[in-house]
Amino acid sequence: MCKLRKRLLLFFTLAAGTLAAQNHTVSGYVTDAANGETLISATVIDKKTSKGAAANNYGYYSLTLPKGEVSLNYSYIGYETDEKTFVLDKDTVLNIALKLNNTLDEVTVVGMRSEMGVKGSQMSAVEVPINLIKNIPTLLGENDLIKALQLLPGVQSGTEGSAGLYVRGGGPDENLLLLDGVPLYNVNHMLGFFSVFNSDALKNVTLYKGSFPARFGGRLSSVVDVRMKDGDDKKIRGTASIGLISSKIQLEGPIIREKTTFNVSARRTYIDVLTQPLIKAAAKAEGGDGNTAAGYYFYDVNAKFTHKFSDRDKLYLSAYLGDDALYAKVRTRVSYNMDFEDKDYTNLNWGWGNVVTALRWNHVVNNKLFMNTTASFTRYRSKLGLGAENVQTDKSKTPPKEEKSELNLTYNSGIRDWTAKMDFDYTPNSAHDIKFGTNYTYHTFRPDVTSMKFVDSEIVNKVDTVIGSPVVYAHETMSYIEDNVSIGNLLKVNLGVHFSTFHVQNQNYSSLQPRAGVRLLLTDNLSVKAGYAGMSQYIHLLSNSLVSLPTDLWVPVTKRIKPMNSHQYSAGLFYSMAGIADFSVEGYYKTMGNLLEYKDGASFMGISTNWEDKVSTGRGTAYGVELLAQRSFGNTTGWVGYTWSKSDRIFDEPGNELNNGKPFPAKYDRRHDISLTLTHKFSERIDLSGSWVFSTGNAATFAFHEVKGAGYPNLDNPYPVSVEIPHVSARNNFRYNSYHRMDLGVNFHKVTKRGNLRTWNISIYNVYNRWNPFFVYADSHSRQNPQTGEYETVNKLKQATLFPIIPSVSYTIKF
Amino acid sequence: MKKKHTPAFAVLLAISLGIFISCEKDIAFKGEVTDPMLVVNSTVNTDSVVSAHISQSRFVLGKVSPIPDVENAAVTLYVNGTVMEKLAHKGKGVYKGSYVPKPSDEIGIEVEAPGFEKLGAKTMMPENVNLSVKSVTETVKENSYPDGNTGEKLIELNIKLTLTDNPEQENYYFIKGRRNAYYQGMLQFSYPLDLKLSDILDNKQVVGGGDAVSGILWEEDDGNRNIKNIFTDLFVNGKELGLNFIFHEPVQTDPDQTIEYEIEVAQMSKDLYLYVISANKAISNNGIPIVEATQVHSNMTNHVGILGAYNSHKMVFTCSRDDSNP
Repeated sequence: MCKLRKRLLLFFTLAAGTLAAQNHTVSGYVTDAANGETLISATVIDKKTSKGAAANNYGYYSLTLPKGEVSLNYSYIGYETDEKTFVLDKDTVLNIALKLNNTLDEVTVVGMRSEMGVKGSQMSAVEVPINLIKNIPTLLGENDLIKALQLLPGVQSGTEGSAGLYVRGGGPDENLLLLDGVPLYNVNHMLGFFSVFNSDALKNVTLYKGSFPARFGGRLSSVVDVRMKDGDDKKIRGTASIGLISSKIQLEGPIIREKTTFNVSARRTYIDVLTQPLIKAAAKAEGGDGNTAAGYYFYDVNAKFTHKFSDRDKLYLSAYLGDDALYAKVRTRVSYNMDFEDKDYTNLNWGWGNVVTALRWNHVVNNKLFMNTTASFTRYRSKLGLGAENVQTDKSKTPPKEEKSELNLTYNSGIRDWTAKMDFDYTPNSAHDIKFGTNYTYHTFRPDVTSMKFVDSEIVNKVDTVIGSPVVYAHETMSYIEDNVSIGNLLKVNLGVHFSTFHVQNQNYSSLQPRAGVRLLLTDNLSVKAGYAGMSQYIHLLSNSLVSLPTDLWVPVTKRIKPMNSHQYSAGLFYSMAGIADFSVEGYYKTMGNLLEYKDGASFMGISTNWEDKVSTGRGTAYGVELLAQRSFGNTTGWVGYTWSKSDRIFDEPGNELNNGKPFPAKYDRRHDISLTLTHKFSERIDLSGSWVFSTGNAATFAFHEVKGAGYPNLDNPYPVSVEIPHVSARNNFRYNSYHRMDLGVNFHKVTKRGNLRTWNISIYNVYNRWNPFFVYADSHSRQNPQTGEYETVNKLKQATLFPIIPSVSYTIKF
Repeated sequence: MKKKHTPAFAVLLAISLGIFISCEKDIAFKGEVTDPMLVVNSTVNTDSVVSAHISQSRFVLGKVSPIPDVENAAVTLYVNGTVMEKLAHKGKGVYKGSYVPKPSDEIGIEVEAPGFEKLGAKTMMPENVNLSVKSVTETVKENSYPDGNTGEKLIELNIKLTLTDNPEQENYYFIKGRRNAYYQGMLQFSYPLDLKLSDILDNKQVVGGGDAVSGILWEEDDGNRNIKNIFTDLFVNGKELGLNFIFHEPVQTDPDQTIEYEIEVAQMSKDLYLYVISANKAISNNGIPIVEATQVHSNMTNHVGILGAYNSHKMVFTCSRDDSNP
């Protein structure tokens, strides 16, 4: 037995050694030859064996091949293919710099991830080209990432102009928005009309709507993976643009050539500056003393520094800082009879915004193992301050008598995260692409704190109090492992598991979430895919308005409020018509549990009970079919998408029912949704872009009846009084009219004598001036009855539109 | 080149700002105009006979007319599952009986009216409020009320009560107060007091009871919508809650005049509490376009109206007079 064991051991050792000795690994980075930017998901394929690999999020690839002659083909759409033929007789580091394909200009350069195409195992995901985002005509000329995502099938926007994302029936808080791997909590500027993403700073954006890879977790409905540019490592370049409501500047370049780079961009609106004279004039006309200031502005700053120690080690430092500010200061003074003076001073300051910083270290452990370690901090906060002071002076007295009262009210809410994580990419051979990692986050939640101070010289007692929900601390961990396995040439399977834990208020939650995706190649251009993803979410966003307000609260699960969960099944067909376009049809079915909604009558602030007492928990379902035809190359690019979908909710927890425990449509349940986006390059000097969207009406809650309230008349009182209350028969009982809109934009380019590229952009939002519904209300007006001659009050349904046709212009210079 | 572009930019900006205004239009109502619903509102308490007001709903669109009362309904009162009596119509949609509910009674109402489906609701009359007087002190202060008059004395009436919460159940409370002025034993003036929970409650955690309730359960005779100060026992379950009232009165010297402070602490049924909170919010939000309409809580089988109950404990405190100096 002992001899047999020894012989077996020797045999397997030799076999392993023989096998290993027959394979070698080629690895390295794929970058843009012009500026050194890494090319995410660039592909490398060996023509002889047909084995291939894709570069990861940091542009690093690893491909293990049999010893011998290899012919490696490196490609990335929009770039010239690079071919390397050599004898592979040892592990080799090969960094590739691809050149831009000069026959296709930048406007048509798009990247398409191989793992999302016909041959990849990933479904329900779309990579949105940054250049397309920059060219899609948008509101007031402010190109916006979120607005571009809203044009994709399966993604609904919220109200007109908002930056909300409602993906496959999910809510706006069910989207994980990552900026270089760090979550952002509130991505809205200006009540949601614009997002915090400055497209000048971005390199790559991918939206996952389902079949989530195991490395993602913490949200139910989508992942938006946004990567910032590292910065040109060869020369300093930049972009400056001025638009109707904001200006931007972006600067990038080497600090040490081909070693250390920077990329900084900033944006600010100037609505407040433009409107200030109008506000002062209006205040003066109303009797003010001219000391009136009011305005709104937002700004954001993105910065990223990259240092390359060697081919094996890179360090990144990135930061985002953005804020919105709404302010008003009014001072009035009125005098009576020369003896009496009344002074009022009111000020409002409302600020909300994000701070994100991350330090990241990439390390090539060996040619098959790549490591990324990140430490990050993210903070979102909203602070509202209201102050009012009144001073009454009686000058007839000696000394003059003053009576003063002062009220100060502040409302704070926010969330802070400290995170440390490690991620590994391991490619043992060409059939496996393994990713695994772990992550820890320390959360601090401040759901709502209101402090009030009231002083009045006439009243002895003053009020000085602080109320609200206590600060909550939580610990969240996440671990995952996934393997993208190629089984022969026809079958590809992605199997993974995501495990997370959440510890809060002495309560532990954990969740094991399996993920699976499979692709069967029917022909070289046709494949069928299916996927499943189980997801858990430990934080919620409480909101009870139609627009995104900074007072929307981020709250964690607690002992009473359980984590949200979802199960999503999807399947689809994918077809690539060579030289024409890519087509896909995909169906999904999703169930969601432990969803939260405010109870009827609850609100975000005021003297009210703890937030846990203001919410009900329920469940939801969403299902639909999405069709997408996408063209990513040539002079004409864009996509056409159609979605049929349905999404319901039911909150029937005894004692905490909503809608009397009956099912109701989800907030943005729209049955049909069509979007068409096209960009065409006529020449080097002119390109045109346009989009057209159509969707059937949003659901909304409307009170179609009025009833008498419980204040009934007292018969002893000859003047009976009562109150009338609007009555809502069911949640989301009303459908707005259909929404459709066309936007057009044209770019005029010119290269100046100094070699700078100057671009004038003229765009029109809502070209045919469609009056789309923003909200609906019952409006009263008086009319004379033609028969009786008496005047009567009549209520009619009125629809308000926010944005009619809006032209805009901007000027951009690239240097 | 710059000069050519600047005027065009400014003109375009001006046009753009001018166009950027909200547009409104009338739209047709495409839904179904539903039949009016029967609306039953009844708030029963231990101090008065059971009564209910019955009306019908009004469709919001079209000609606005007064909400009609229903004067031909058959209203049956159930107490603890047994038919107690039929309520009689007294006019203007008000139906009254003769039964005065007792604590822990299960009160049920069933209403039938021609053209409407039968509907009903049940509620439990809360237990008596466990309220006791901890102390009542009067302190005379001089010139502490800065009205410019010298030499006037003020009485500071400090009333401390203790509310003991029942740990066995969820409890919902409200606090009201009135100031009554009598002359020769006849009530001259009576008005509700503007009490603030944050001033009254010793336990600050409870602050954050309820929002002001506009027009719900309000005092019919003075038009002041002053029923508020609603809170739950969420943070004080089973505990003793201190209530502290401070009032100031000029010292009374007229022997014919008497000033009373009436404090009412009541326990409400959960349905009534939810109705009050949601109805107030529905009224407040009405007409604000960015806030969705609120569904008002109802325990009626047709989900409109309310059968609520409250059991109140009233205490009356009389201010002292200074008979030595008429």
